[in-house]
Amino acid sequence: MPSDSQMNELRNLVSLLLDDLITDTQQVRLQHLLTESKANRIEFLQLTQMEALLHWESSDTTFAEETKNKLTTPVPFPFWMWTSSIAAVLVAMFGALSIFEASHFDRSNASDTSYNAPRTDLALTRTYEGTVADLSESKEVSHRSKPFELLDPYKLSSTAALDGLRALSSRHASPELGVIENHGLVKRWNRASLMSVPSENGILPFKGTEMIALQDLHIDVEANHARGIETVQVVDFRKLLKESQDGHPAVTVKAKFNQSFGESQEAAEFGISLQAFREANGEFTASSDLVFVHSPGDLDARTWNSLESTIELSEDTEFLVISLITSKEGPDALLANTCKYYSDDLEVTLIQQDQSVIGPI
Amino acid sequence: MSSESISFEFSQKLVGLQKPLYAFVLSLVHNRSDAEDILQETNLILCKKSSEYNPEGNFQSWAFRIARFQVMAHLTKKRRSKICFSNEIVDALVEEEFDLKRFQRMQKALQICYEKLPEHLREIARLRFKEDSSLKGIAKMVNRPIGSISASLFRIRENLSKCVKIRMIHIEAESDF
Repeated sequence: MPSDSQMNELRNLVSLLLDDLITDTQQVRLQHLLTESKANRIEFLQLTQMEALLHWESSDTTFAEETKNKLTTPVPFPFWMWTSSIAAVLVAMFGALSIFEASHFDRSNASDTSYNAPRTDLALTRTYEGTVADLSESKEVSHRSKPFELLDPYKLSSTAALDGLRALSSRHASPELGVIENHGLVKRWNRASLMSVPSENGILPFKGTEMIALQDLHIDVEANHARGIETVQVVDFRKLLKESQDGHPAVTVKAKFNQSFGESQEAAEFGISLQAFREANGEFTASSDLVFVHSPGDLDARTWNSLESTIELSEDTEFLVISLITSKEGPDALLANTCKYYSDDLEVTLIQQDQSVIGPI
Repeated sequence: MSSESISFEFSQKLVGLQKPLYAFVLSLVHNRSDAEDILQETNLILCKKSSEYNPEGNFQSWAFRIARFQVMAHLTKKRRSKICFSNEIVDALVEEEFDLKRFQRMQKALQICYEKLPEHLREIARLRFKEDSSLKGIAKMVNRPIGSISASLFRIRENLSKCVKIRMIHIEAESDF
């Protein structure tokens, strides 16, 4: 049975460990104590479990008197958020099923379908809270024989962006929608792994064994173009900007694009859209920082087209939404297109004002 | 994964197990950001493998087994850059079976004990555990040296640990009664 003094020493070492202040020598001593006795291991587990509860519980309603005035502040792991997030996954599953059903319905009733009115890229700059309302409206519309509303690439990419912003704000990523990665002072919500496919349609990944499969293009007859937009990542700079005294970073995003062989006369254009956001009162608002670069691709499936975009973040930027765009303009855009589009080697690099670099991540 | 494959029962069980899973992972990796990442990865794998789950089986032990694999993979990666616990210690810690009922008692006890913290310690606890502030940040906010904040956090954990142990005995006795 460990002595009181040993138990105190253990608690002190665990406290240092949990605060990331433990030295190498102290860590060796802690390992020794844990190896030495089962009672020490049980005490260690109790302390770490209590720590987990403290982080979790302090954001829960049981600690109401502390949280009642700070409901809009993001908190780690609130239980109700998890419940609602998993509920959202269930809703999303039904949504996905509806899209699937709608797309089948579309093919059989194509002649009855009315297409969306043309939009500009600036459609991405609106507040995303509004987009959710749009989406629920369009779900209703789909029952009135306008199912293409659900497949609008702007809405799909906006929904993904909102998922990412909400996940980062609440620190809860619904695993069905994306994962949160920690890169030191920067967090990133990333759905690239959910979009990844191995080599297919004659395209080999540029790097590694998988690449991002971009969505099929959505044809807009009135605007005379076909377009697909995929929000792939959302980067959270809040911690970096809070702790860094070096002003606001520039962010460079690089990606490579390719298209498979298919019945298409012309190559698509590829683009990267970077949109800055901030959060206020639980709502996400796009700032004026929007960068969109695009470049024509080629029909050679063996070569990857590189694209790079840089954005200087303004003072009020908290998040950056990264979207990949595939686009075709003109009459060829309206023809049957069996090409598939891919992206790979997506890299995000931050350059701070003192020229220190974070990434590429 | 097919979108229809997660049953309501499965999602309910997954929601109910988030706190214990997080506590289990944190006990092995000791770093909150890492624990959050591993929990997310574990959730993702659990959802992907939901079709393999037998409703008659033990969901908790299945989920913990997957979390353990994720922790081991994480530690293997991390060992290359930083000192962390040896495999033997991690194995020994994992062998101490996670008692869900005991964990729930701890949760109740902690709620009571947290209320009993002296005001000055509770403010530090709020900044650290709720606001997720760094020690450096807290030191700046309350205008005290980092060493003093570290000592306060040690005292908070010690007070809570001792109080929770006593309370858990009462709670267990009440539930037996």
